[in-house]
Amino acid sequence: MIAAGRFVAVASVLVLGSVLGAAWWIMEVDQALLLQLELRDILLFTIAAAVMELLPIRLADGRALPTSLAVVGAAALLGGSPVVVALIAASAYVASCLLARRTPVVLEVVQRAVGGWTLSGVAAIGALLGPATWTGNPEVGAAASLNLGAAVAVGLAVLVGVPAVETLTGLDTGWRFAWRRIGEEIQRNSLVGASIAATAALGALVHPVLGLWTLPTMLLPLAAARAGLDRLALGQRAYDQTIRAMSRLPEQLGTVTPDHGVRVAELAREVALELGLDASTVAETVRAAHLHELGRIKLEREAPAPQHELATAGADVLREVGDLDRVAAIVAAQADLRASPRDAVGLPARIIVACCELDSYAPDPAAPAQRHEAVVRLVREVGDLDVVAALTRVLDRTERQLVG
Amino acid sequence: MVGRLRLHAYIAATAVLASGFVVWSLPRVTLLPVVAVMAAVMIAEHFATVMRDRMAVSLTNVVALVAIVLGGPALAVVGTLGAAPICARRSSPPFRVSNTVFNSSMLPLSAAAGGFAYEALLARLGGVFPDWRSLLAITAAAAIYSVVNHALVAAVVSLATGDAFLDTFRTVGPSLAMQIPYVGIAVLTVVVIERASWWAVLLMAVPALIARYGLRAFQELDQEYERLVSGFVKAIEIKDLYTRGHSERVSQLSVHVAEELGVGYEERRITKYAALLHDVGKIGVPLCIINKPGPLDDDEFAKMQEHPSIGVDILYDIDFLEPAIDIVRYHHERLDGRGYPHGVGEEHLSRLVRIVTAVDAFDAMTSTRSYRRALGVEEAIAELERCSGPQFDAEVVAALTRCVHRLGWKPTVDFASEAALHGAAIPNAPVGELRRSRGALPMRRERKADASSARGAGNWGSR
Repeated sequence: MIAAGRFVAVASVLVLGSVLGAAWWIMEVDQALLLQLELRDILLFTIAAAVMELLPIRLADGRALPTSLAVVGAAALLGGSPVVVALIAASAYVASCLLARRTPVVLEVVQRAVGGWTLSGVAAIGALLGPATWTGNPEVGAAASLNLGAAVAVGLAVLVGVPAVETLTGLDTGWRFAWRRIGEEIQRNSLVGASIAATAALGALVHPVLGLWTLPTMLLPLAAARAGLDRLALGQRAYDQTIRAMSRLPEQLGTVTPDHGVRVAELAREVALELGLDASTVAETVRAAHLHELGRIKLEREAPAPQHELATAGADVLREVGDLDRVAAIVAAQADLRASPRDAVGLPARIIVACCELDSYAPDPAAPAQRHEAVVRLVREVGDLDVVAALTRVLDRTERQLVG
Repeated sequence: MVGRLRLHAYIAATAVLASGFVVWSLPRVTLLPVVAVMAAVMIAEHFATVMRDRMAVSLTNVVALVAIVLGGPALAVVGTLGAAPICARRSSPPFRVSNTVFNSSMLPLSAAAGGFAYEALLARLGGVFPDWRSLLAITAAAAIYSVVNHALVAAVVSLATGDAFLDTFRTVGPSLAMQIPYVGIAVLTVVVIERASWWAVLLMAVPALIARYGLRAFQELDQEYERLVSGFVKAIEIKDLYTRGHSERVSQLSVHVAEELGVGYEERRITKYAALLHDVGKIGVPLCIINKPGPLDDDEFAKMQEHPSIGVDILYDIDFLEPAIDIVRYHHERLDGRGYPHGVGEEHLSRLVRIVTAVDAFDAMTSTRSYRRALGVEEAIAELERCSGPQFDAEVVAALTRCVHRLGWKPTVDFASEAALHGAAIPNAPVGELRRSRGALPMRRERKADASSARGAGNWGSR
């Protein structure tokens, strides 16, 4: 069912993109965006896009956003036809793969081609709807010029369209909460998107003056932005990985199975998404899930620890660590689930207790009786039917093999 | 006193020279461009980001270059005066006047040098912006601007601190490489201002501001991360009475020793984190062993020996700590290959490992432990020196000695552990006995024969 949903999403994006791209041919000659790109330009744009393909901006979650979009966007703004822009985007990707000795992925080639095709059409639609081409100061020589309508349209496509398409074609929780996910994705991409859109507009603007020199100079500010954002992502990754390493501390005491914290965190993330929690609460849930057993390092070794003692000790340790106040609150709330309200602290606490319980009990997915018993236990322990239902949906979807 | 005088004379000379250029420039500029350039310089200086390695990233030189190309050296000289209020706000009272005077005369002087070089080259080559001749002239101007700037700063630093001029001037190398992107951005700005409009500069400001945002957020996160790592260690030290504060001290002292040995910034950072985390694996060692008063038996010692490997198990998938993992893994190894847990030889022990190993041993000796009392600093150093060669790196021990003396390092007498010790029968630091027992026997056999003494002698350190 999910696969079918994703197929529909991909297919509609393809159709919509092709239609949007075809808008380019509606333009009358006098409305046309600037000059048509010459062969030399096409070649240069392809080389520049290939280089930028090799310099993506990495986000904290490990995804890489291609900065080549700035070059492709500039080509679209300069009036490149859908065929030309699609060709630039696709061949740049292939060339970058060859340079990096990777095998090009067909899906990525199609994605680039459709993206380029669509952007060209979007620029044309912007030019049709928006104000006419703005021309700079022609007194000193060739003047810079830019079609403002087209620039706005391409900017919107980069800032809103791309994240929306990425989210819709990658949704695995079904269509529920699609709007929230799209909104979060737009927000996550906003800095990179703004840099890329501004760079594309800048490139189109100065191309009539700088010609050959446009590409190397226009990409410099973008390269600076990339350096800054890359460092930020590196720092975020280091932070999250350290939390993960901390989750292994109680395992060293011998009272918790290896990688219990990591498994519970992965499961809790999916359940939190399934319940439609917002991105920051999902992140806190994952951190708290990693660290939910941390209290063991404070308790007596090998002594059986009741839930409430473990939770209180864990929260104490986390408060000592500092900077993890919300995580500490979530861990503390596990001490008495029924007393904690169903809010941004209480709900993650219920999710974690449920996931922890399931991971410790580990029913065999092939045995319905075990599965039934697990659900009964979860309802008794957690007392929140929504959470248990979301957890069972996640289990159905992923057919997770649980390791005890 | 003479040094102060020379410093002030130098600053005064810079100020007089800069004033000369300003006086020459004033009749050659018009109000509006000057105000614009001054505002741009102020913004660039205000947004200057000081990187962790004390490198400042600012776009002031891009503004100066743009001013040179658009309005000649005069505009650049007067415009860079815009940095003065920002400099004044940034410097603190005792040196406020001299700092501000120097910083606000340094930029116009650099701008003048770059500007006259640009005009002279352009006249000679006969280029028109934006052809390759003019690009060459701009690049040369940027290089000269940077060299003059660095020379002026290096001179003032060497007068103020007594450091050699060349030590500071050396930073000009990396900064020259940085001029290439700056030139590109300057050219782009000139085109945008000259052929389009000033508002289009905003298109360039977007990526620049985002770059700055990223760097700033990264630094904030970096501090948060540091707190997380030390919090991580604190969490482990909760129950371990004797090693409380140990990791923090080893980390601090290791960074000093690394600095003394001329280790670069990134490696010092790695050393700092590795030293903080070197004993993380002790979480897997039962507390009764860690806190046991007196010597350990063979089984207990075997358990204790696992802690470096357990530490590696905990930390292995933090990408950023990958270079630090070896320090955790090998911090109880010896140069002669008789350490634990792997018994590897010196070829596996990098300089950073040797630093942390020696500092770890030093701090263990100079703080009270469950199995003995703290040694004095001099005793500990003597012990380290005696063991350098087979166990510790002599060069590292020498650097450690210099650091300890310079910092006036004191043995750590933890009141909690002292109180705990009073109730227990703890041997006084058994140095003499340990010396005897080390002998010529290989460590492993010796350990079998007399586990407690061999351990104490063979592995000075936190067990």
